[in-house]
Amino acid sequence: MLTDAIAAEGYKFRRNQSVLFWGFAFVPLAVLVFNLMLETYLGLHNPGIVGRRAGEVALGPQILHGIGLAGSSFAQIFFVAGAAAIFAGEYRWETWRLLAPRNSRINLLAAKFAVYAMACAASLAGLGLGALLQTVYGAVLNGMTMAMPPAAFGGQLLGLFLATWAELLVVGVFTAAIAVAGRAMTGALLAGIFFSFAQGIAMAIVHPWEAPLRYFAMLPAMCAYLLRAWASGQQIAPGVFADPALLLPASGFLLLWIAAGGAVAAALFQAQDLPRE
Amino acid sequence: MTALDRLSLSIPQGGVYGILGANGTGKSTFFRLCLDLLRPGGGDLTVLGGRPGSAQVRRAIGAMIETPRYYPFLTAAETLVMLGRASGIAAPDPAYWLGRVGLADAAHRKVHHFSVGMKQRLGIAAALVSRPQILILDEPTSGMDPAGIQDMRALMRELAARDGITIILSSHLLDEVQRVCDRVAIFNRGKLVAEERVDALVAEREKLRLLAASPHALLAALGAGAVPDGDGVLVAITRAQAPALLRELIAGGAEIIEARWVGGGLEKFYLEQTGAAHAD
Repeated sequence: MLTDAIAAEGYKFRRNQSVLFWGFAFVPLAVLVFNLMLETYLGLHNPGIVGRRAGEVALGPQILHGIGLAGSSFAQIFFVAGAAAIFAGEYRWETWRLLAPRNSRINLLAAKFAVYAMACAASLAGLGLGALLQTVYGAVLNGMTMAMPPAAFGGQLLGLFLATWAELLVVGVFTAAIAVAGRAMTGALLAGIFFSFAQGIAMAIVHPWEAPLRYFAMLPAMCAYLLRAWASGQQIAPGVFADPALLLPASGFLLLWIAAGGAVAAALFQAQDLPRE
Repeated sequence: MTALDRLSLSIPQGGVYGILGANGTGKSTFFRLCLDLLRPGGGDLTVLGGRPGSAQVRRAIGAMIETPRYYPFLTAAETLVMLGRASGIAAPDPAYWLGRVGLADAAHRKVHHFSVGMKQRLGIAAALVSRPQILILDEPTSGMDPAGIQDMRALMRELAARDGITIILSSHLLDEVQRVCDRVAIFNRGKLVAEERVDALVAEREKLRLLAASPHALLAALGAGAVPDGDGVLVAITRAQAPALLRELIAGGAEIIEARWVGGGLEKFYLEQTGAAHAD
């Protein structure tokens, strides 16, 4: 059963401390530590910085910005590393022989997707929590007041969280498909990183506010960027907001990428011989 | 190339069943197909009346294929818990199974540090943790020291006798197969060429070799049933007939120096079967 496969994969994942740390805990921790150090430095050594000693800080945008950091290619290096370890681990350790006779292949692969998705969600939650802590710390240190999020913040948070999560899932399924096709962790890692950076570079050339729809279909990161900007109410260019007409196609493209990547990985794995990994 | 050609194998429930064959004769392919690790390029495969990979077949079969590999970050007990959960066992009992294979003291050590023999034992515990009816062991003593091999043989017999598990053993060590197995099948070029009870085929081929002070006198006393064999005499009788024959010879004045059974090993049968198949 799928629940058995998820229980086994989750048990194994929780004990794989290096993947747990570098894949999913490092980004929130590193961002938190860096921001706390920055707040401390600015608070103690540069008290005269204009605008930092007075006024108030808005908690909501800080949390949204913190979660949105997972959309950067640099942060995604670590998520790709986590995905490569999860999806290519059995090839790396030659352990499919142990696992494959115990549950159906679809369940075993789906369990890996589930664990990766849960780990990404926890990591995003960690980024949000880190942003909250950093904001509170900075406000206290600088004597600023905090503006509580408005009532609409819940919807904004959910929208941004889902868009960023979906982007990480796209990166994950792409890495999974490469891991299964290549049966190698390094190949999956490099391909995943390339996939993430290539989209980043493409987005610097093809701007989301003027790109035709087909570019959104090719660049899931741009879809996620657009959805994040819409959810948080931020401009995507000076004076330009996300086009509401693009929201539905962008959401569809993200889901399509996840479904297609997962289907490719599953089809390859179903047909694969596992005499030696 | 046809890896397995119209192979049909009926393995009786209980006991230890040996599968012999040279490298490349289809033994490992057969096991891997049964375990759904390999997908047949053509044809159909039915195991226990079901399709390999079906829940029913998966539940029934446990296996250790060659020297198993493990996750370096898990301990022996954690490995069994994880594999048990993957098999749908809500509360695997790693302490019990590690105790059965003699690894109780190593339960909380990382598997990464295990010797080959310990990994083989853990492989058997991993195969048993889901309490299968059938245990497939492909070269289970490969890389083990003599004491470990002896322990492994005892464990196989114990699992068959005490737990009622049907063990299917593949090994290149014919002596090991002869000592452990109740029945044996021989594969050659993807086909089943022979299948027999081990004790029966050993009995068919073994002869009593007698060494006496006067071989000529012994030959004369035994008559047509005996043939010279170097400085001794070979007699084709069953084990049950041996005491009476020896009593009779000694009573007749023969000076018997040595009496031992020869030629009953599995090796000769195996070579006959695979040699005949090569000649085809």
